[in-house]
Formats: sequence, C-alpha cells, structure tokens
Amino acid sequence: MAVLIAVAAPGGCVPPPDPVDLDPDVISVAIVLVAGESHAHLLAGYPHRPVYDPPPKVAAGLLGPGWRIPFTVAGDQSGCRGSPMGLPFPKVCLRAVLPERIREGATYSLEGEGPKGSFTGETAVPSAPQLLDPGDTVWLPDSVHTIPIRYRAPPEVGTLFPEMFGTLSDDTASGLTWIDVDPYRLDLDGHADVVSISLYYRPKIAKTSLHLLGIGWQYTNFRRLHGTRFPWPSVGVSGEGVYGYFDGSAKSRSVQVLVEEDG
Amino acid sequence: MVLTLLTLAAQQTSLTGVVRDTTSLEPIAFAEVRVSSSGAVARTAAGTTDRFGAFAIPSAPAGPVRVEAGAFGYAPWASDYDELPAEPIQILLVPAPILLDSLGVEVAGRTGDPISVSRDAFVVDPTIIRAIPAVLETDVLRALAISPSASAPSDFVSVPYVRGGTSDGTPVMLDGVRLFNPFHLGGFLSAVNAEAVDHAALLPSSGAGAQHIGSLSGAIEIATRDGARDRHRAAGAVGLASSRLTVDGPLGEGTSYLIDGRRTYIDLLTKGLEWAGVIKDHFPYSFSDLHAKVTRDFGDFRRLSLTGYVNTEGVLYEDTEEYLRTGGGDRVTARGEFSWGNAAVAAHFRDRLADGALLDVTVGHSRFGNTLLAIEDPDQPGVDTVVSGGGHMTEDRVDVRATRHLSRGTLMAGVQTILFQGDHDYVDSDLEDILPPLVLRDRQWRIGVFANLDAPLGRTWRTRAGVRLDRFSGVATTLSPFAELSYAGPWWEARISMARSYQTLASLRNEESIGASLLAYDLMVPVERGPVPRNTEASMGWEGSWGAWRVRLDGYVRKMDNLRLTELPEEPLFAEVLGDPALRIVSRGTVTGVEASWSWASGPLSTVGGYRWGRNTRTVKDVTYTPRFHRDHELELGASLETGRSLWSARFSLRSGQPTTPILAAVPVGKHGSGGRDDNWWVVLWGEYNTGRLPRYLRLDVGWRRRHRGGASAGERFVTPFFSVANLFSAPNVLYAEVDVDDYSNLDRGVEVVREYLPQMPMLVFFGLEFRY
Repeated sequence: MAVLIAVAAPGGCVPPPDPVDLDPDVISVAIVLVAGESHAHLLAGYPHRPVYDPPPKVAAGLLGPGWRIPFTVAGDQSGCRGSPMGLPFPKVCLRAVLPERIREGATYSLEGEGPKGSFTGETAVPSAPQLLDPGDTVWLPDSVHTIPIRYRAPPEVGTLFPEMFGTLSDDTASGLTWIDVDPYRLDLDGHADVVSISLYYRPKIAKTSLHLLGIGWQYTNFRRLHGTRFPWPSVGVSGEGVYGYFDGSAKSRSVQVLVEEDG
Repeated sequence: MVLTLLTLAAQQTSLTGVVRDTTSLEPIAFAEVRVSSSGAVARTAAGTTDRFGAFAIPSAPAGPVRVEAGAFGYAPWASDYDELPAEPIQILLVPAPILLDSLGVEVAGRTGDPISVSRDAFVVDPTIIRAIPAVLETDVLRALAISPSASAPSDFVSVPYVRGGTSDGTPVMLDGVRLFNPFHLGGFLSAVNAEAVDHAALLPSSGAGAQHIGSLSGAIEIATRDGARDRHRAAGAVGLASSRLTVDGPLGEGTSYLIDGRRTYIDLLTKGLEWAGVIKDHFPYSFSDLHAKVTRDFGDFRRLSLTGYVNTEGVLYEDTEEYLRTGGGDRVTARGEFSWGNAAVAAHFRDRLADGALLDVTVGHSRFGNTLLAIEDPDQPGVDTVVSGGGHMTEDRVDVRATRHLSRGTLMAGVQTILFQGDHDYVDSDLEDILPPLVLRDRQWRIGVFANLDAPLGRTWRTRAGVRLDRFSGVATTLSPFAELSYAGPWWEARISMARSYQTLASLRNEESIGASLLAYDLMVPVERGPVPRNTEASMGWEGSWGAWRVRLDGYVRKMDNLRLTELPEEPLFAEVLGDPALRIVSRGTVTGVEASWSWASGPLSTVGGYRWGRNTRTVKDVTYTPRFHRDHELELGASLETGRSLWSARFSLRSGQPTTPILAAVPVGKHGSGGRDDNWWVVLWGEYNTGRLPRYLRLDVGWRRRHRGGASAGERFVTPFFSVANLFSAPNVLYAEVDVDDYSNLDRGVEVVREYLPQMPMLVFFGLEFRY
C-alpha cells in the first residue's frame, strides 16, 4: 500500500494541506507566579490572529490570601520575558503589583474577562526544589564545562529549569548575563535526581551562580498538550474561548560557580 | 416458541427435487419452483432451491399438478403430472440469454437480483462481479461492498466491515470452511478467484441465516461452482498484475472437477518499470492461489464434494549500497523476508435420510501462517533486527446439519465442533510502538448445538425462531436465541427480528490505528476468560417490488458487549497496530443504522445501489467515541449499460468523512523562569476524540468490456477484453490527517495550523483480457 500512496502523490490525488479554521477570537493566557516576587505578569494574546492586529482587551485580577489585585498593562513589556513573547501573535503583557511576596505552598486564584467570556484559574505555588550538591561554592577548572549536581524536587514540581546567571571573562557578553545550559529543562516524572549541567556554548565564566527553578504540574501538563486529545489534564485555566496555563514556581538556593585558572 | 411451532407442524404431501443446468448439470441455487393443482380448486405452493439446487415444497397440492421452475438466466420450465410425484424430481433448466435484471446482461447462469434473491443476504454472482468496474481484477469481496450493510474501511482493503462491526466478527466461509484473511496485497485484492465462484452472500445479521456461523457481525459465504458435467471448459484472464485460469469438466459419470489458479507478476512488472526508469524501486512482491474442487453426484440429493484451497504471498527484498570503505563492491544494508498465506480443505456430504430430512455434513481444516524477518546490516557484527517473528492460526471443524421440511414449516438442527488454535510470536521488533513483542499461544474448543424452525402462521404471517447453545472450552457456555416475524403483502413483505450471538475469537488488530486501514489481516486468538464478546441486535425490514424496481429498507440497532479494545490512542498514526487482546479493556459498542437498497432494470440499462445512515460508538472505560472506520452516510451506486457486445459499467461512491479529532486551538507556550534560552513554541490543542470529520469521500470507477465470440461454430468460446479506471477523476480522498504548525510563513495571517492528508487510492487504470472456451 505504501506503493499506492507513493503513486498517489504525483498523480495529484493527495489533497493539498488544508488550513484548519481556528477561532480568531479565542485568547491565550500565560502566567507563572514566582515565589518570593511581589509582582505577577500575565501574557494575554490572540494566538490565531496576525501579529499586527491589536492585542485583546483582558480584564483580569489575581486573588491571594485576603486580597484581589487587578492586572494592568505593564509599562515594560519585557516583564513577561519567559512567557512566549517571541512568537508572532498580537499580545499584551499585564502586570499586577502584589501587597506581599508570593509564598510557597499558598494558593492563588485568577479571574478575568476576555472577548468571549469570563475565565478563572487556580494554582498552588510549589515548594522550592532542593539543590543538595554541590555546596555553596563550586570551583570549576577553566577547561571543564560540566557541573554535576544532585537535587531533590517536591512532588508538586513538574518541571525544573537549571538557571545560571553571572559574568563572563571573555568578550561574548558584557556585564551580567544569563548563561545557556544543557539540559535546559528537566522533566520530573521518572527522573533521576543526579544530573550534570553543561555550559551550552562553553563561555569563559568569571563568576556566576546556579540555581534550579521548579514549576508546577499545570504548566508542565500544558507544555505536553501538543497532540493530546480532550479531556486534558489540569492546566490551571478554564473558561469560554480561553486557553493557557496558570501555575507557580519556586527557586532553589544558589550555588556560586567560580572558575579556577588553569595551571 | 420453537416447541410451540413444532407442535403446530403436521406432515402433509410434499414435492422435492433438484434443479440443475441442463448443459453443465451444475445445481442452480435460488431457483423458484412452483406447483399448482390443476383440479377444480386451484391451489399453489412454492419453494426456492438451496445452495445445492435442492428444493422441498411441503403442503403441495395433491392430484393433477403443474410444476413450474424458473431462475435468472434460464428459460422457464413447466411439466404436468397426473399425480404429485412422490419421489424427488430433477428439473433441468435451459440457459437462455436474458436482457434484463440488475447489473449486467450475460448469457445464463445468473443467480439473480442481489437484494431479493435471499431474505437473509445480499447475493452477488459472477455476472454482477464482472459488471462492477475491476479494481486490479474482478473482485468478489469488493462487489459485496456495494451492499449498504457493508462498509469499506479504506480503498486499500477489500474485505468489508458489516453493520458497524469489524472484520474479525465477519468470517469468510468458502464452501463451508473458514478462510482466514482471504486476500492479497494487504487486503487490496480478494484471494478467491471470481471464475470459480457460483455466488457470494453477505449475511448482515448474526441470527436467522447466519445462526450456523455463530459470529458477532454476520458472515460472508462464498460458494464455488461444482464444475461442468457435460464437457471440459476453461476460462481465465490475463491482467495487469496477474493471470488466472479455471478449468472444469466431467470426471466420469456423475463426477465433476474444477481447478483454478492465479499468479501475480507484480514483482516482474515493477522490475521492468524500474529498469525502464519509470519507478525508482521495484516491489519485490508476489502472490499465488490455487483452488480445486471435486464433486460426486450420486443422484437425487446425495452428493459429496471435496474442496482444497491454498494461497501464498511474500515480499523478499535486499537493499544494497556501494561499499565505499573497501573501495568496491556492494554491501547489503537491509534484508527482508516476509511470507504468509492460508490454506483450507473441506469435504461436504449431503444425503437424504429415511424420513426425508436432508443431512449435510461438512468437515474442514483451515490455516493461516506467516513468517516475518527484516534485518539491517546483515553482514555486519551486531546485526539490527527490525522485526522478527511469525505464527499461525488453524481451525478444524465438523458441522452436521439436518433439514426437515414439515407440512407447516422447515426445521433445521445441527451440531458443530470447532477447534481453534492460535500461535503468534513476534519476539524482536524495532517497531515496538506499533508492533510490540507478542507471544500468544492458545487453543479453544467450541461445541455448538443449534436448531431453528421456519413456519407459516396463517396465510400472510410467518415466523422463524431458533436457539444456539455453545460451549467455549475453559471460558463459558452461552445461549444465543433469535426470532423473526414477517408479513407478506401482495407485492411487499415486512419483518421484525431479534438475535443474540457470541464469539470468543478476538483480533490482535487495533482498529483505531492507521495501520488497520492499510493491512486487513486479522491475527486472532480466543479470549482467555469471560465475559465472552456478545452481539445483541434488533432489526426491522421491508421490501417490495414494482415492475423493474426492487426496494429493500432495513433499520437495525446493535449492542456489542465485552469487546476487547485498546485505550484510545493519542495519535492513530503511531498507535499500536497489534496487541494482546488479554491486555485490553472489556468494552462495549452500539450501532444504529438505516439501510436502503434498490435495483432497477430497463432494457440494456440496469442499476443496483444502496444507501446507509448509521451511528457507531465504542465505549472504553468511561470514554465513548466513534470508531475511526465509521462513516455516517454511505451511498453506493452501480450501473451497467449494454450496447451491442459491449458492457459499460460504473460504480459511484459518496460517503461522509471518517471521524478525526478536531483541532481547537494553537496556543503559545514559553520557557518561564528568570532567563536563559528564550524558548517558545506552539501547543496544538485537540478536542474530543473523533468528534470531527475528515473531508467527504467521492469516487467514480468506470469499466468497459466487450465480448467477442470465437466464431459461429465456436459454441461458448469468448474473448473479452476489459478496461477500467478506478477513481476516474482522481478525487483526493483521504485516509487520515496529520497536523502541522507553521508559525512564521506569513505574519499577516498569523499562526497557521494545517492538516496534511494521507491519501486514499489515486486514479488507477487496469486492463486485461478474459477468455472462456
């Protein structure tokens, strides 16, 4: 039958790719709270519209223990960095300044009104992952670009991001910079609790720090929804014409990474 | 109810006999025999011949009678008797050219109209089979799929699914013995030679006429010809992909033979195309089949027939590449050896018992086996095995049935013993996702006892009822009743029926995988423990005829319990194709449908067609969905026109789209956290499983054949070139849709989610030459 299918293509019998009619009025929302921060960012957009269209008008509020804070359009749209800012669709970054820092283990709610109706969400911020090894400081020989780590993540964490931030000793970047690492993401179902973090582009490090960011299962579930049929696992957001995720995250302690000069 | 009807039946005078072709002496099935009293009080009784040409007319009038007989393609026959013959009579019908009836005009030997010749089945004969535009070759199973009860799961599979069931629930029987996987080319072509077929019947229900089968979704019964008893004949065809030959004739007094065989040359053909540069790689595939039958007629009803059948298929390939490292020569990079096939032998004996009952005894053995081996780098250390394994399944059966015509009805009772053995062993596979390692060995006895009674209730009402008791060794004992009530009006008939049936054989195939649409092979094992898969159905039917029109309407509801189904796959394209039924989930299904079929003929033009609307669900755990092979609407229309010696034919199919899972949204997702790599992508969100629809299906096949007589003194010598085009307009029908995201191609449009389709059959041209002498 593979032969017949192969014959079908040049015979003009294969239908051309058929664009799927997607509802232009649905909106996407992406929000991940970070424990310890006193603000929250929400990225809202029209995922099925051309990038030059105006972004959706979304009225949303974040509810914490005893408070409700409305989101407003952020003055600095880069505040939603980490959200899917780089993709071409009309979007707006909203920001809420909170009366207190986001707390691990606390439950937060989301409520809002989009073009097609209201939406709600709820999440519990996970406990921070524990970075067991190395200790507070690790000396890295100049020729070595791998840092073995040992960690423990609480069960409410679904995804871990190892993150490095610091200064480089070469001229690839100036000042403080984020350093790409590999693996850049760890999925925590059936995981090992030991992993080696490699510096992705092997930059020359002067001084940097390494920590793990743990995000809950609602974000993790959403990330894996590609090609998943309904009903989906919980993603934290529900409502008519609204798709996206609402979750919390927490950082482990940081490890100072210092470079030993060779010789 | 059976006992009540038995009590009502009282023996009276009856007329019995056999109807045969006067030339070949082959029995004629579905012939109508009528006996009328020619005395002062006119009274008429009628009967229809069975598969072996036998008939019995209970309650026949006594005294001087006139006996008339008729069958499609034969001149009417009549004879007067002073008294109703006490002994069986033999009626010899003379073949006659016919100018009308459904689908096709040929000389003699017709079984009849497909929708009205049997109340239980849709019946096609060689004339109808040839009047359907050939897809590669004239094909028995594809011809049956014109019935509204039958649905083709894809263009690549010839075996139809019946009333929402799957092929494992619809056994294909050849002369009383089961043929496992009776097709070639993955299911594309049925493996029974149309030249050898007397008729093929699709039984959509599991009750009444299919009670002796004991299956979930009816059956397909193929009856082969006995072979002529007057002289030797040969018929055959030379086609694009294969040639076939059938020879039949007498073997002494009362004995006839029929031998037919077929061999493909797809391997040689594609090798030539590869050599000519038309295609890149040849297709190293071949198949052959051979069927033989010997029939001994002892006179009256007594007869003995022996049938043997064998088919083989195989793919043998070897990929090579130039071995650069050593500077010369080729090295083998991959090698595959796949072979499979089936075989069956059957013996059927019929005799008339002292009390007038007809006794049918069938003993049969059937086998399907396969061997698969594909390896990569066979000449290197650490050879990589892509797939390795094989297996077989066998069925041995003894089937004893007695049919007794009573004064008020016909009583049939039988006992059946079937031993099924399955051995499937796939131990090593790189394709574990779709073909997981399997080691399944099981055997099971099935002992069934069944009886049914067909009796009139007054002048216009009629009833049939029966019961079947089965013992499935090591699993359960089941009881399968059926009942039918019918009413005959002056030009129409209506009926209502209910039936229940069981079968323990379950296929390893996962119908939700795309692979199931490409490969029709059912590898089966009995379920190891209860509950036994069960079918419960209720149906209502009506049929009538006006002039050249015949119309039949059926409505049915089916409930299938205890099916062994897999959990829903996320992506059918990569779903497991084969799996162990014992590891599956005990599930259920429902089917509701309305069917209309019709035939019409006027002069040289005739049509037959069917329309079916249906709903079909499966429920696995708490998820209910529409199976991927189902289409809500299906319209099939066949037409033929004779102009001179040419026969033009067309087959039109219009079907609603198969289910697919809809796409709800494409939503951006990012790498959250403080920084690092800016990684964003689109997540495509799918809706509920199979709640969307693929584009509708539309196809037109056309065919032409022209019969050339081989001279005035040539008798029955014919040469018939044929030509057909499948999917004439190359309609872009689809099998499945993959989903792809294109987010940067056009910023003015935004993200674009597209379905990329797997096609069904393209436009293909077939031609060949049939001959008969």
